[in-house]
Amino acid sequence: MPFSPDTVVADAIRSDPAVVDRLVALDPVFAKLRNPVLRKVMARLVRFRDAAKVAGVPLEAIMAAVNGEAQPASSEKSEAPSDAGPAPGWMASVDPEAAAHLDVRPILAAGDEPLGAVMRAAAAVPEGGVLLLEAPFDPVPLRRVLVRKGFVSHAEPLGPEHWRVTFLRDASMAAEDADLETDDTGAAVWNEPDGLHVDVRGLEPPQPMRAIVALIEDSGTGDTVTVHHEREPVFLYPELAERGWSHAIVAGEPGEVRLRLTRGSRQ
Amino acid sequence: MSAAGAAFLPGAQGRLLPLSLPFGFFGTAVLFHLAGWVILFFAAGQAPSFAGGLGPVLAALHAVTLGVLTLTAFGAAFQLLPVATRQPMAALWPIRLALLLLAPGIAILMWGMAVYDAEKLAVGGTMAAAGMLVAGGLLAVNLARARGMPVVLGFARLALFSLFAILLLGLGLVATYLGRGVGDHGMLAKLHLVAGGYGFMGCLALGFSYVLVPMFGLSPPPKTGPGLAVLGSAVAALTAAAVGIVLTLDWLVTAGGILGLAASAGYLRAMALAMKHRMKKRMGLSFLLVRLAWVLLPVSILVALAAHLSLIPQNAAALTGFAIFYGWLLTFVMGILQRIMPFLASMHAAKAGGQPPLVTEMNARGPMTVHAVCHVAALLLVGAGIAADLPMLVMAGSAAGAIGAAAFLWFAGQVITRMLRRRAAAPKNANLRTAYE
Repeated sequence: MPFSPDTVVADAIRSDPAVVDRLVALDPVFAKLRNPVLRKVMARLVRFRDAAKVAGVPLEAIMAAVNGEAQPASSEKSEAPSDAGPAPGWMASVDPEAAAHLDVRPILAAGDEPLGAVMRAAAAVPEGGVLLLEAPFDPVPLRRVLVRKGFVSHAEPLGPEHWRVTFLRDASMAAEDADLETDDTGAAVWNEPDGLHVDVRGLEPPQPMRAIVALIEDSGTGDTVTVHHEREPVFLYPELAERGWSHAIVAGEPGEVRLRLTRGSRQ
Repeated sequence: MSAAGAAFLPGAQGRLLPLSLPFGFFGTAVLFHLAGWVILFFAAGQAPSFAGGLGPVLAALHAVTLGVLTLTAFGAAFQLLPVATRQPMAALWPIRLALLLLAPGIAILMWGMAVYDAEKLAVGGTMAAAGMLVAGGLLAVNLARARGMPVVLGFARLALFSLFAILLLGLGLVATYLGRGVGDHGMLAKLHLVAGGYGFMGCLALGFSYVLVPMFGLSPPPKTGPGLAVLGSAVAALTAAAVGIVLTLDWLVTAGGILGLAASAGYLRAMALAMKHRMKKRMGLSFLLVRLAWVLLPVSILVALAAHLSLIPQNAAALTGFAIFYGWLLTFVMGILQRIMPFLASMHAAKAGGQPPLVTEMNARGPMTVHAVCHVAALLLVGAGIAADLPMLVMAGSAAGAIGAAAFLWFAGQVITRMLRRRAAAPKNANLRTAYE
């Protein structure tokens, strides 16, 4: 089945590893995908539609490349990388001195996954507070995830492989920004030493359940998943049981219900 | 569950009601379900020509509307509305009180209807109305603190408004039977039908579909914009129909029906999208009934419109009532109940410790199949019997319905028994209390 613009890049690579080579052949900017950490971080959240924006490569060229088709007649780099666009009005009130800062470039350079650090930093930002994130690219999917957690954001390119994203926690503004794409549950997923973590807080039912079930049905998921939730998901338990997973509530942050899901034999 | 997890964090508690509450409502509804078909069987001779008025047909109708639909709606609402509003129910005692008033109240009301006794009607009607006021009040309090899911909450509010309208209209109708009525009985009855079928029950069915269907199918939630358009159409439809009935403006009632068709089209599109994008591929027998109900929703509106436009040659009133309450709503509710009871049972059995049993372990496939087959047969036979004015067909269909209802009663019994066995086998230190207790 051909890939579509809404296909998650990770799914495409899993089903056809040659996708990476075809993308690199299209444009060297995709060489990042050869980095296993970046591939894990970006590819799981990014769809081809997002990749076109981030990389500044026409979407139709990308789709032709990944589907092994002839390139369309006009395949020049006509789309600017995610254009910063004019700064929204709230940026004028941002005080960089008072903001939290996180630079994920060294984390990525060291071969580690930064999403956990980003989620922890974001969780610590109070209403009205700001997080300044330095990244090598415009993290469009991450911005979408944080919208659902009450953040609005603005990204601006500062130099080669250097973007600054300003995240402002403002739930009412974020509610206006949130879009409900059918293929994106909005959950944040990342790796920690103890396994996969998924944060479903702030998601509208049944997105938390969908995100968790999708994760445990994914053959690439290990044997444990840690869920960060805002309430005990009692309606999830029968779904877990059906799929052979057990659950236990473990200690978490104040206001959080944290579950450890384990694949294995049922009692 | 770990020791750390056993101490729930404030605001982070699960929202499972004590099992006696939802199962109390559902179990009582299942009994009224059987009663509804059995009474219709014995009243088959009067059913085709029924156009309102006391008697066993009215009793059978209220066994379904109040006994099955309303009790199931309340049972489901108390458990599910907190999921949509992200607020727990304010208290549990009103739920218990509501059931204590509703169950006997509905039975006495039906008795009064069946034996043409206006005083029993008044007693039962007052008890049932009081029960609905208590239940509706608790749901209103929950809605007042709600956040999120504007489509679901919008329909819930419209349903509550319709509920209070039904109560007033119902008491008004009882008053006319007692010779103390004000207003035209026929007009009150039509308004009562619209407010009951499409207002209260209809809006609850539509509203909860927006949370239940995605939950059971693991589908993305329907988009808010189109959902609000459906809600707006529903409001316009009900308003047009009600004003048209009161002012005897036939064109306005017709407009209401057309707006209702538009609302149903938008709703069905949202359901179709949810089914198309679902993660769970096999939805089971219960969703065959739900899908059938989706077909019967616009059918019921078309039948009602046809009756209003005098396009149905005979028995229009009976056909309309049957299409709305037995056809669309009863089919939908029994499909949802068939899905939700084993699901809830599994969650309550999980409280016994260890991992929750599979939903299929709580199920009873044989009785479910018998019920589904008999229900469809009943709809076809009774519908044909009313349309063709053949009481024998109504009788045959009611018999099928009663057999199906008995099978459903068996199914419910199996689910509850299995759940209680799991809980009885729980370790002595198992925490069987829910977060509310």
